[in-house]
Amino acid sequence: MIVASELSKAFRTTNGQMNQAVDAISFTVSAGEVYGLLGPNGAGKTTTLRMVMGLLSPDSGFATVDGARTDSQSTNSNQSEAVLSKLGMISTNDGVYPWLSVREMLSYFADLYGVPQALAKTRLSELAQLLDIEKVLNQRCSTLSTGQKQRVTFARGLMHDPPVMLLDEPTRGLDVVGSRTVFQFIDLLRQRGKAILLSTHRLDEAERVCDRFGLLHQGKIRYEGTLQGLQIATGREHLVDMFIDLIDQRGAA
Amino acid sequence: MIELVLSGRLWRMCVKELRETLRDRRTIFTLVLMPLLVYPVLSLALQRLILNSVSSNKSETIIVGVSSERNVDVLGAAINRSRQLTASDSYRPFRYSETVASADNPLKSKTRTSSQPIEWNAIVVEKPLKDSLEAGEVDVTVSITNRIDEESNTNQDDNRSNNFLFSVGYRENDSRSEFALSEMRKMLQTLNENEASELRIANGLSRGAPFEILATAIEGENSIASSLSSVIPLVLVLMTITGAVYPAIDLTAGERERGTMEALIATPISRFALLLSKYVAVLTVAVLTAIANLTAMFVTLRFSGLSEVLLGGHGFSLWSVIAVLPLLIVFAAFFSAILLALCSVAKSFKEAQAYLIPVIILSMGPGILSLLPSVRLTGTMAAIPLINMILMARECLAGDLEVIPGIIAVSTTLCYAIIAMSIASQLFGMHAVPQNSEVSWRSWLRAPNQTNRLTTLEHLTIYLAFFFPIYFVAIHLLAGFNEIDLQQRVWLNATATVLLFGALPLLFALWRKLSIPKTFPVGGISRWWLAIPGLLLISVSMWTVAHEILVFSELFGIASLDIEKLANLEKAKTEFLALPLTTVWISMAIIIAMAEEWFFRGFVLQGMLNRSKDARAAWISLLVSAILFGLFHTVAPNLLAIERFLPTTALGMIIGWIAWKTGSLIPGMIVHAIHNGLLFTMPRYEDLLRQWGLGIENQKHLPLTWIAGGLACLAIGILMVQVMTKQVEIKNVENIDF
Repeated sequence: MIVASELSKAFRTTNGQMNQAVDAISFTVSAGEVYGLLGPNGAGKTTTLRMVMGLLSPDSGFATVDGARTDSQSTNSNQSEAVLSKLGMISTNDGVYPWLSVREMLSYFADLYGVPQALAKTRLSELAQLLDIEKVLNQRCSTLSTGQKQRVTFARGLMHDPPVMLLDEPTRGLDVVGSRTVFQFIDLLRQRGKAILLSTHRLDEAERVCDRFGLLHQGKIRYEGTLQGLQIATGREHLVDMFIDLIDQRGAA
Repeated sequence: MIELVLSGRLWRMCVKELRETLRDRRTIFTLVLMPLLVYPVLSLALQRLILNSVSSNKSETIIVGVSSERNVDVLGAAINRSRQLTASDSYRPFRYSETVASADNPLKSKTRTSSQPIEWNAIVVEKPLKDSLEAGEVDVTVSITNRIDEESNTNQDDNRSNNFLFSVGYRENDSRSEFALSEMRKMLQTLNENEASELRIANGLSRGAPFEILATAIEGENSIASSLSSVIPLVLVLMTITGAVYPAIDLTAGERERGTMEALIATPISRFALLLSKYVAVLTVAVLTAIANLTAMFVTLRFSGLSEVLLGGHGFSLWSVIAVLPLLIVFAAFFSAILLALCSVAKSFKEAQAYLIPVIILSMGPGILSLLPSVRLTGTMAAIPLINMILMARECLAGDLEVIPGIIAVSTTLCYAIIAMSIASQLFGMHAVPQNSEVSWRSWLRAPNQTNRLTTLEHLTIYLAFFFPIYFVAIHLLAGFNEIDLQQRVWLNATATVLLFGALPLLFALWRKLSIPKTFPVGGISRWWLAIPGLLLISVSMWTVAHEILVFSELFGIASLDIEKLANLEKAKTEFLALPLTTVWISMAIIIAMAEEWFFRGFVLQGMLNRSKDARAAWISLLVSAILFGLFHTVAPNLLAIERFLPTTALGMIIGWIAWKTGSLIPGMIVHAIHNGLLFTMPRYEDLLRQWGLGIENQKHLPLTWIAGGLACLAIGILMVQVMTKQVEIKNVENIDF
């Protein structure tokens, strides 16, 4: 479903130097698979996700979803519309509209994706049940707790039922129970056959939920494969240890 | 886009934006509370100010300027008599309905306290009374004539039949002078009433009032009231801005600050649609604010009585409120777009505010400039944003709005709104993703990556939005050169036309990397040389059609020429006839035809034709370009030559059709140049033309034979072009297939 091919992106820092945030990253994610993009802060996870999403245009390389490129430069508007409809993105930075009710906000996004109103209605109640936000549907978003907000954000990303989900740190700021709910939900999405690209720092949960991993450091994928493959490649049993090795490498460099 | 509108999605998007804004307490604050607070407070302050200025110079004596000692005596006698009457008339001390009716008006109540007799001081003025009044040496001037004296004492038997005419001069808008006038009126009314009642008692007769007053105003200057009245539009405009600022920031930069922008940009909806829904919301709030302010101002002024003081006799009528509202809406449409363009680039609330504050302060500058009474809504002023709307509102309130500058002001303002929206739609969402720091307003100016692009509707809209104000200002600047020699003026005009219609679109096309050969196709003589005879027939016969349409449209009262302008035309004509014919042909026919064809048939028409090969679309493009051609020809300095619209549009259709059929601009240029040349040559052979029965000057119909001949020539010409280009078209298609 998702193919990232040699994605690169550099940013100009405030003192005018170029910082290679992502350096020729390639990976694929197929339907019904959860791919974990792991790495320390500043490794380039969010930038990668944004390039796959088409929000950032890569300096070189490209990403495709279902065979169609996501960068808007190479596609005409109709094509990019079709691609965008297949993608759902949930980010830790996502906010809610404080003055709208949950229902209004979700309906609004369904509308933006062109979901027919009747379908949007059934999907909304379905998602509300699934994510346990039925009780707050008519509340203003400003009154929600952090966990509720996160679940509303999940519902927002799923209103158009995209086959591909990009999840950027979906558990940051959530407590153990909250995180657990999120990962259970990711599991459910996988069962429904969605291709999921996940970036997270909850390594323990990631170990359980992800099918394959890419260990990102300083803009490059250092290791890639299943947990088993990684264990063989790094000689470490747990992701946490692999992680620390990576950071130590950085310290050594 | 159309689908979005039809499915109601755009509407629901707008509703969401409005919900978001209107539920926010801060919006409600500027929308409702501000006007409720500002106007009463402002009006209290104004009342204080005016009261001070009125009372400080009213309590003492009124200085009356008179021309002779005899007038002093008559005036003195009148004053004394009226004082006696007022003093004895204890049961009705104030008979003046206006005073009683506005008893709660502190300004008017000032006059009521004049039960203490007013001190009058008459001085004999040496120079003309008017001069002394203008210089402010006296409050009013009076010259008294006894009509009986003038009628050589025919009614000697009735010694009470005096009939005095008090000619009073006063300064308009000067409270002190107006007060003096009203006191004078009261005094004479007292005398008249007394006289009348005594007469009625004496012999039951009623005559005309023995004391008559004739008030003549001179224009007062720098009166507080008049300068305050021009503040009203500025206050309204600034308040409308205030209303729009918060939603504009909240719906753009706020979206980013809340973290909803990224999700919004990730949706397949176009950014323009997103921005449009936000624009509708900001505009709605701005208009609501304008309505709230207008209502609050109307109510405050009405009930505080400031209305008459500030706006003169007619006050702040409901009509003027209704007239100002559309202006505020146009202004809101303009400023909302500006605000969105500014806020779209901001990453946060703070940043947006940092951008907006200088803009608002800057816009105060022209706002204050427009307070000067000498600044009027004419010419170039009508094309300057903000100033034009404030001036228009001011003239609207004063009830002397002129139509043409008004139309120009509204249309240029809407042009600016379109430009601002196009900038905003480019910028909106660019900062959705952080670290993308290279994006700024400059990115809107940056040339696109692709080359050889085709003109889009957006290009055309933006270009026209820029071009119309420039064109309008240029026309006015050119009109300013009316004192230089006609020959120079003609060349100046030709140069300006080449720059405006030739160079500007070319520069725009180069900048936007449009395909030059496709936008301005000038080659390909092989494709249309066969059509030359047909083209010549069209060029020599087109004027008959244009003339008939002109006369026809005048039948329906579509005309802007009046006698005075015709007289000017006569003078211009003699000058014009003195020009060498070659100058006329080169500067007014050939150059102008080439430049106009380059723009209207090249940039506009080809730009649209290139989009689609569909014949129906081509006809629509033809019509649109012809209408534009017609519209531009109606714009003239300080007048709209609307009678030119229909004939020019018709010519635009014919020449546009030629350009479409031949695929080149050259044939159109030839036809256009010959047509123009003929029109300018004809007046030189007036006698000959008259022999032929053609009174071109008299706006009369042509003889039927001429109309028939012209139509026939035109039809044959068109047919020839059609046939000749058709054959070539087929050939061309074969070539392309190769």
